[in-house]
Amino acid sequence: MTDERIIELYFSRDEEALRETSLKYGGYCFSVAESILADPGESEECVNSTWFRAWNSIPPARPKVLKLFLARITRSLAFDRYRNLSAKKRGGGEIALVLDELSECVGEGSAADEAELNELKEAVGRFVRQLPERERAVLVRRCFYTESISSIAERYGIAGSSVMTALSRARKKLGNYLMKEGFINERK
Amino acid sequence: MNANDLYESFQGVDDDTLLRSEAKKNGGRRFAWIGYAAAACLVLGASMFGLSRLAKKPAETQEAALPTEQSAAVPTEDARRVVTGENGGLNEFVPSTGQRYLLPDLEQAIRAPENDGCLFDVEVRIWNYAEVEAFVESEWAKVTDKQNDPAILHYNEEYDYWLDNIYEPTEADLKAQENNKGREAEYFAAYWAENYPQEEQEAYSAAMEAAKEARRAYDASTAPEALKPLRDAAAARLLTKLAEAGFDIGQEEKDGVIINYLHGLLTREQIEGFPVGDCGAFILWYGYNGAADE
Repeated sequence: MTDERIIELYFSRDEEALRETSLKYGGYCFSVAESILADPGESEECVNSTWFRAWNSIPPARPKVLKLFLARITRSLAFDRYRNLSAKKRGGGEIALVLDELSECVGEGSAADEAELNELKEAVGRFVRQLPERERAVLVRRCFYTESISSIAERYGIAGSSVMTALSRARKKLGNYLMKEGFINERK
Repeated sequence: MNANDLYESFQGVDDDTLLRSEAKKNGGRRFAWIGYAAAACLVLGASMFGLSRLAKKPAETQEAALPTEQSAAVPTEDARRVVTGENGGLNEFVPSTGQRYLLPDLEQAIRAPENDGCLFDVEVRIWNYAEVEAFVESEWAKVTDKQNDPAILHYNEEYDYWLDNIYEPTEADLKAQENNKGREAEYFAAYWAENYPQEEQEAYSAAMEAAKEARRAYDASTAPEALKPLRDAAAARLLTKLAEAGFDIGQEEKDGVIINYLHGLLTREQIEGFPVGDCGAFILWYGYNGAADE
């Protein structure tokens, strides 16, 4: 079924929308959650919560790209869940590495409030758009989709070291950009 | 702000960028997929638009008096139907200078045949004025000028040389580097203090202090509050230009420091041709709550 048709099902409050969404994007959303949680049970619950959130959001939301609309919800829910898990249960996983890499840009400051976070989202969106193609692509795969270095290398047919170099450059630029935009004062 | 916030803020990456990143390798040419993916996005967008027109949800309407000034595109009836709408979530978008972005649902509504000749109750968010951007860039150039002081560049060159030829990391240092916790800069600072002439050290310290001072000046001159008068002046010029062109639109009093919010009743032609020469505009239904993505 096309995304447009699925969205119309949501708008007509037809629960078939949930079944069709699950059929079409269940695997995709599971992989988004799993890359963050590294726990099939938790990821499955997270995907189920995604359908519930989508049902409550559409309408009024009319997603431009349904797949990405769902990916954003799943990512947000999975990360919330990750933060709520005990440190022991979190384990290492890819997300721990990504967070560690990002801490290189921002250090160990206190959590941002909602307004700051919204401004930060806009700023990161702007920053990513202005990056060169390769850096943009690998940074998005790493920091939005939480993909491993080897997966990114495989996806784009490049060496793992090239991925790491591109990520390192992108993070350095991100740190400078965040300083320039006044989000952080000095990098550690 | 911490790493969790930064990770979360990648939610702000736009759909096009995410879609492009989904493409996989394509034969021998690395990253050649970018162009193909962009073309595919255009085709997808065009087909989505066509399909969504077939399934148009009727928009809410009401009668309203005509605006006092008329453009050539505005019909001459005494009263016209005003189309209002509801914004969904996850459509946040930051247009760069010269870019105009319409909310997809609004775009559908203005092109729907049943809305021919209607006015649309819209909010226009204006930001990224070319003038403000140029000012910020010129202020940043002052910082980089100081950062490129010969004394600082010399220090950096010496640091690179030390790193490549003198520094002998221990196992623990290598482990720390892998975890992005390397202390090389700290080690070199000690080496520099011990081994380099006093005058070089003093020149470097003075240059670093000047660079920090330039940075503080930049922070002050480009803080949102400091830039507000510049933004407001640019917005006032834009409003004058719009009024002269017959747009029934005014500035909305909101607490935005970075964004200027405009509100008005516009025709289809005015929305499609909204003049964004030296700023960026995001046009959406009036009454946007913007908080539906969490």
